[in-house]
Amino acid sequence: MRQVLNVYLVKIKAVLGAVRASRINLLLIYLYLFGASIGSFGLGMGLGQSLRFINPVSFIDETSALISAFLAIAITLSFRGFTVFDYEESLFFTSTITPRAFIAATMLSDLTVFSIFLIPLFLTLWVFTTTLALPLTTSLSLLATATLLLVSIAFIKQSLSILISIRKEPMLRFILVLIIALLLLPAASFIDPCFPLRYKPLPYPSTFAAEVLLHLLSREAPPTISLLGFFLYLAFSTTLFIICSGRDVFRYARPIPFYSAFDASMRAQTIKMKRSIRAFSKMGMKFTLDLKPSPISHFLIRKELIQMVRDGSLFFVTLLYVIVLIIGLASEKSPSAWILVLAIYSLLIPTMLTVNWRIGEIDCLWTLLTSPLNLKIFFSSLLYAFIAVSTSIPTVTILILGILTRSNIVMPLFLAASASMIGSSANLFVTIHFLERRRRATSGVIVAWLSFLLSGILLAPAYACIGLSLIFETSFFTDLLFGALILLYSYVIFRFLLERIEHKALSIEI
Amino acid sequence: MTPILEVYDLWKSYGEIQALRGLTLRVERGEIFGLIGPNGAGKTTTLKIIVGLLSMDRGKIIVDGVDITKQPYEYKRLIGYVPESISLPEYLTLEEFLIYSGRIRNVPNELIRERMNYYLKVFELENKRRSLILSLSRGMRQKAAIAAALIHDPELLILDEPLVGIDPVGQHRIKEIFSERVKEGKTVFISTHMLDTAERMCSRVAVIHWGRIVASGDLSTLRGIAREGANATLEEVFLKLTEESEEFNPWKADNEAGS
Repeated sequence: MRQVLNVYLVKIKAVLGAVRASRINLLLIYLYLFGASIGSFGLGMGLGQSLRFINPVSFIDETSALISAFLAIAITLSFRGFTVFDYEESLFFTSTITPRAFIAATMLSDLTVFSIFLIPLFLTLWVFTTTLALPLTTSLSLLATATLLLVSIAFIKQSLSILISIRKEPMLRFILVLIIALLLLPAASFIDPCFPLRYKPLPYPSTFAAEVLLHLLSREAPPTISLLGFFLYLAFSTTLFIICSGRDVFRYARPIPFYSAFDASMRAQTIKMKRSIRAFSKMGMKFTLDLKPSPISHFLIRKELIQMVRDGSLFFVTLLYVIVLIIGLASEKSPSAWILVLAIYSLLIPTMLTVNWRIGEIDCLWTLLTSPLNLKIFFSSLLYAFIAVSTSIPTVTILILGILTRSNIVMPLFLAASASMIGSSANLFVTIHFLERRRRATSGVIVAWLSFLLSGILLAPAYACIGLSLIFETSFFTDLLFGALILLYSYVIFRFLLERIEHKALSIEI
Repeated sequence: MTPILEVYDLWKSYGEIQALRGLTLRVERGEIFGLIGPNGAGKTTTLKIIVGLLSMDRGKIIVDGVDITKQPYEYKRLIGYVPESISLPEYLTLEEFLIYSGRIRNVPNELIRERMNYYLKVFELENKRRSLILSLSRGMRQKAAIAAALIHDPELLILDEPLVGIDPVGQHRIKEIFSERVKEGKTVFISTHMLDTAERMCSRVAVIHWGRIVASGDLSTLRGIAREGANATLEEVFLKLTEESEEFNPWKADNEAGS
């Protein structure tokens, strides 16, 4: 027990050390807790109200699907194997600490750290039980059930990670994939109501848990079969954990660089970026840099696009817009307003791309700065690559939505192009400004926020044109005229900022 | 013939810390020149100012007759640089990185291909050419950075601790490359802690301490300055020179003034 406590304390100090390292990290936690707490109140009250008119069958189906999804995610995460932070390997694995004590301490510290993120969730539960006026015993039973469920999912994840590391047979992975498929298969009934499989009649742990939760909410005693099924699952996950944690797993551990969940520093971002490159580079290997004759600017644009593909930037931007497109198509009310909102928020793309460029390139800038290449050529190529991505994805989305909903998309298209040009150049300008030696320590979050602010201010005339167009319901040709003016203004800003970027880049010190 | 590199009265400070205090040195063509000094002496700062990664507070640097502050891009055609701590674009493959390094230095495609194949073979990295830099070991990355610095066949190759982290075979190959370059009339300027390597490789060395050059020349000249015998090694000479130059230690002066 003493060993567990010692390891636990070291691990907690390592994680919280990042908070002490920077006030920005602390500020981010407060911001998260503040924002999420406000959301939790709304969510708790909304859930409480909706459960007054509950349909027991759909409740079990939906809750079971949610728990199954969590379980499937936990199993998927276990495919990475048993990973430890690099400092843990050198500190604990060479000591007398047993694998079981280490794993127990790891789980405890993970739950402690996780519980900070879960504060809003507990708040939701409190508001929810208050809204339903549940007795204290029922509320506590609900809390205990949810906690046991979380712990058992953590047991499953940890045990399978150990098993995956020790047993390399493909059969084990195949079985786990099969289990994930089985867990998620009944969810097909949400898309197609005729699908024959549903969660409710299946003897899934998630279904047992959902039934227990439903009866607790209805202030009834849960059926014996559900309780038995739920506790059998808990017993199974605990036994599996006890057996797996008893193995000599230190020999199979895969060390990974340490970073804290609370750390927003450049170092932590770089580690995350490396993981992202590992995951996404495979799909980007068909798109390569080669020696085919091309102007240097084309070559550099290609290089930047390759970076966006291989570090996952392009994937996440596309994913965001696919989700937006689906929501836009599903929302029957005012598609035109949705398209306009979409165009306004396209300003996010240059910010995302610039943040990732900064993380991936800041340490490699020496290759560029010690070369005779004119920096203006490099930065204009970089901006064209940003503009290509941040214009094309919103444009395609707006076009699809516009065609399918027969909405007027002239002004949103101009706004998206303008946001792309101004957003890209403003973001890069602020990023380069903060690469100067005295400002280098500024947090990436502050840099991104200032970039976003500057982009928004510079886009004000474009927003004004859109506003005039909406208020006076201008004709198609007037919209075209406004659009041309917006593009001209954006181009002037782009050229001006490009000049400033080159000038500032000459004073970058590495 | 004009020297390939001339540095005059170079000053640089980081806030209150004075890193360089009137550093002056001269590197001739066709030599391997070593800059040696203790930790914090100002070696890396000097190199970074020369290659354009840091600005100087005061002073003048001339590369092949070109004042680097007046033509900040042009002189970089003449130099190749390998930093001490190497960060490379990890999302590129080794081959792509070398192509990129060649293209931004305006090297014709045919020459890039030829030199890339040559250095990948020399450094035994041929089987890694299509591997992401992310997957390369530290030594492999070091070799990749040296290959990139050589891809445009620079007149002046500047390297900060070039042999650290490289296996013995790799070190041998790098030393051979340096010797070949010197035979071709090119210059190699290295900063190092490895005094035995510097003694064997460099035709001349400069000893830097507390931000200024305390002695410069070939080993026999340094022995004379340090008043050491004819059999004294570079290490013995270095220790004597750095001990004598403690008078330049600004912290020591502060402490004495304080007491």
